[in-house]
Amino acid sequence: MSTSAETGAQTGQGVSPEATPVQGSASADPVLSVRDLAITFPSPGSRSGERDKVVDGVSFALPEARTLAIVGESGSGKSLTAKALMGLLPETARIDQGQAILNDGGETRDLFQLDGRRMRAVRGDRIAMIFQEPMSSLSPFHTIGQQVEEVLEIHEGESGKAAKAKCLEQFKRVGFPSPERAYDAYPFELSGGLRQRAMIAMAMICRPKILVADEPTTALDVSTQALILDLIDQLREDSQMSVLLITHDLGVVANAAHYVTVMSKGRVVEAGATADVLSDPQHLYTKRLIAAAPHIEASLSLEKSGFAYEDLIFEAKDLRKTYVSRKGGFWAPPQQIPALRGVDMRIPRGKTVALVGESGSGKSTVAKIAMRQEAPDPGGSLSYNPGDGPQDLANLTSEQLSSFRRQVQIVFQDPYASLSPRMTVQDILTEPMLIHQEEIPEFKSRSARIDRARALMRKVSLPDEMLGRFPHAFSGGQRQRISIARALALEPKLLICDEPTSALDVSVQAQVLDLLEDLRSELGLSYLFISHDLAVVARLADEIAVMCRGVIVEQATTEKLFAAPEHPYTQALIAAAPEPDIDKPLDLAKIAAGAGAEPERWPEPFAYPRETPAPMTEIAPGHRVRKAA
Amino acid sequence: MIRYFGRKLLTMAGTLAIVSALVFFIINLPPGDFISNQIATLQASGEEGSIAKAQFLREQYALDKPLWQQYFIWVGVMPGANGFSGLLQGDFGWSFEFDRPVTEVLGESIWLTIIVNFAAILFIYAVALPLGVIAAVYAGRWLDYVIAFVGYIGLATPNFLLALLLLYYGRIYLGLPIGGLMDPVYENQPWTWDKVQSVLAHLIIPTIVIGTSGTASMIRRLRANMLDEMHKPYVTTAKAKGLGPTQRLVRYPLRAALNPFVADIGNLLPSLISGSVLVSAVLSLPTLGPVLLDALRSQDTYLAGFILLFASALTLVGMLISDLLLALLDPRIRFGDRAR
Repeated sequence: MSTSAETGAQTGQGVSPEATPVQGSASADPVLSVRDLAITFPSPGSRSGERDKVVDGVSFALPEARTLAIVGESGSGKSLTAKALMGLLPETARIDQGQAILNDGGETRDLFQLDGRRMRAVRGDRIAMIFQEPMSSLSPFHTIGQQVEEVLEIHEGESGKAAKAKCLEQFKRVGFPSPERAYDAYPFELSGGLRQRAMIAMAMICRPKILVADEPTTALDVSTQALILDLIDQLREDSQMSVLLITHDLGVVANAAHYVTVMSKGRVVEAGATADVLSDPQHLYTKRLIAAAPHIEASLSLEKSGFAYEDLIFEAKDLRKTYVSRKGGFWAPPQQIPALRGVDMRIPRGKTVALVGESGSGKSTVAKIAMRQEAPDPGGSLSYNPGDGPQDLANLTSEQLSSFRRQVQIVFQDPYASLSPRMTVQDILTEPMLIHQEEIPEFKSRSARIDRARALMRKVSLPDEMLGRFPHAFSGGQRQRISIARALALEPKLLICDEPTSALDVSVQAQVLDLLEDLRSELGLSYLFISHDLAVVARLADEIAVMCRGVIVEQATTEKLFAAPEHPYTQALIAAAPEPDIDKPLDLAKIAAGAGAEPERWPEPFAYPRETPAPMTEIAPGHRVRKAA
Repeated sequence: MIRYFGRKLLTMAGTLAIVSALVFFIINLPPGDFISNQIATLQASGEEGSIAKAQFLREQYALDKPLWQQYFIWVGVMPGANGFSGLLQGDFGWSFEFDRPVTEVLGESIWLTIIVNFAAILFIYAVALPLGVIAAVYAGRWLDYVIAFVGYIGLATPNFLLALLLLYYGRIYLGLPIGGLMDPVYENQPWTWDKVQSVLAHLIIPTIVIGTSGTASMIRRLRANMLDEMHKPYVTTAKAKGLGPTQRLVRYPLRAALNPFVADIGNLLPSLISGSVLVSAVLSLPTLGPVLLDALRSQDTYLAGFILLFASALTLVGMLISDLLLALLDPRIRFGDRAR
């Protein structure tokens, strides 16, 4: 993350309590009022032209210079509502009724009644939008400068030097460390956070009345998310713009919005000032959403059994992995990219060890190596203990390897991509049994396999009569249950969960975590749990290792880590996890101090030159931190 | 960029070396060679003088040596009867059938081949680009189907038939010249403006005929690429900026859809050269196609080998051009190593 972004962040306050709306301010004329909006899609399979209402009677008002969040889970219609305002609905969608009155300094227009040319004059000029995935939302063929300048060219007919000067000024405003370089950079040369800053610069360049932000931070790391939310809020304050924030995350709402409108299944179920809705939710759905959001403190109060490094099921010592970039020069040697720079990890039998880190920290590489999908660099050691003595993973006999493959299973992040769409659930669940039928003779019988599949379905709380269906018939949460059932098919001992809930809605996430917790105690499993989200991990993990740039920077039991986080990076991660509680705003100063994952810039004694990590120092029994001794 | 270019050039040289070996051995796969066939004929007629000459040629061109030696002599890395004299030294060999050096036999027709094929490629691009874009924009509507229909007709009609039809009607209604690449008056004349005009007029029909078959697949490919790109989020961003529909299309998805379009230049060339043999025969164009056919039939090794090698070189150059164009068009290729 950029230097100036962080200095800016330290002065920013997020939506601090004094910015929370006074009840009276809503009565001022709203900049945008949406009334009774209904959006329909053709019913799937219907030939008679029937249409399904996907958004039904949605109304809300966006006050001047305030942020209104629309919250809901996937399928609630929140994104469609935002797209309708911008005229970006998919072709099959139709606005059946409703108005969207834009009040632009006294001049009012119904956005839904504007023709193509007039609507284009509004888009990007009066209302601008930023999207979830900045990488794919920016054109890979044009420099950032060209893309931002284009907006000026469209709406103000400006180009050349004057436009460039405006661009550079805007880049500075959104916190680019060197605007000149950003101007000539292509999107793929920037980090995720900077890409989103570029999107924001593009949206802000014509000083819009309204910024529509559709899940603007969902694809970003938590610390980057905090900085981006802060940036949007500062820009709102400075230019007295209104923000319509679409999100699924109540933590984001608590930190970034004055008002909130909760949507479920195409309807508004609750609306009001953020403080009121979050502290005293009226609707059952809102209550459920709040309850499902992961709370670190609530998780910590859970009873956890003692943790000791005895009877290790898995042990890794000095794990290193260097990837060689294919893009070597013709004469220059190929680039070495160190993904792991010496990771030690021990998983006691029956316990859960969590690896937490932001993207690029190397946590997924650990998972791949633990699964023996990739070989580590020579030097370290890896061992797995099925119960009768440790085996060196590098030299397994073929028999040992086969049983290792049975006993160590993985649950992937994306249940949409990890289940074959061409196999029925029954095929998915019985395939591992077919593969291993030589070792487990009972699986030679088809009926035994099907019985087992039924039992697995019940175990993950899915009706077993759905065995014959294909994955697309299931929701995201149900698919993840199927993934878990598949992983359990061969009675594994160690389950590697690679971000198992990050593709899921919060309410579903809570259920899947419940399931994983139940299964662990019921089947005596050990987990290696990989996540970017400390709040998710707090619930399940016995021990947490925080990873950054290929090393573990802090490692402690869950209670100790949250009670007394020592490393600035850990502190930043904890501080950056937004909680759905208006009284606990993000602590931006703390986030800025540790974020950015640049070891050189951490305060003493934690700083170290990138190539030579400082040693791990035990500061309390079972609590180790990477710092100069 | 320079390093990129250099790397491409080196790969090209390597590929050409492999191709030359393949070409040479494949041509020599059928039993016998031109000279032995000729000697057999001559012996039957008993012309002793000619037989002696043929024997001399056999030795001259090392036809009495093993094949691999013949190859190295041809390439010019092994001394033959005249010392090092092969492709590398600029000696492209002797055409037995025409009894002249290969370069003299081919002479102008090499340039004419390049001209005709270049014109055909321009034609393909000029037709396929707008039609492909329109087909994508109107996907699933009648205009899309009309374009697909026209394209498939072009693909399905035998080229020589189309050539005959165009010749006939072009002559009757437009007064276009029939056959050849220029009016016979200008043959072996120095280049003048009139000669150029004559060549251009003669180029119209061959260009259309050779180009038509290439357009259909090009239209389909461009349409599919456009459809993929048109629904990418960055196009939505462009819309959200307030960009009008035409500019939105041209600046973003078309830019991306051009990639495979450009990458195809290299692949178009060989299919054009080998595909245009029949057409050249029908239109009596003095291009390489018919010459190659004859040379292969009569086992005129060096002539055939040179033509095939030349076609490969042309293809490789086409690929080089497309690689360079791609790097210009797509910053991800240009700056791939600068990223991250």
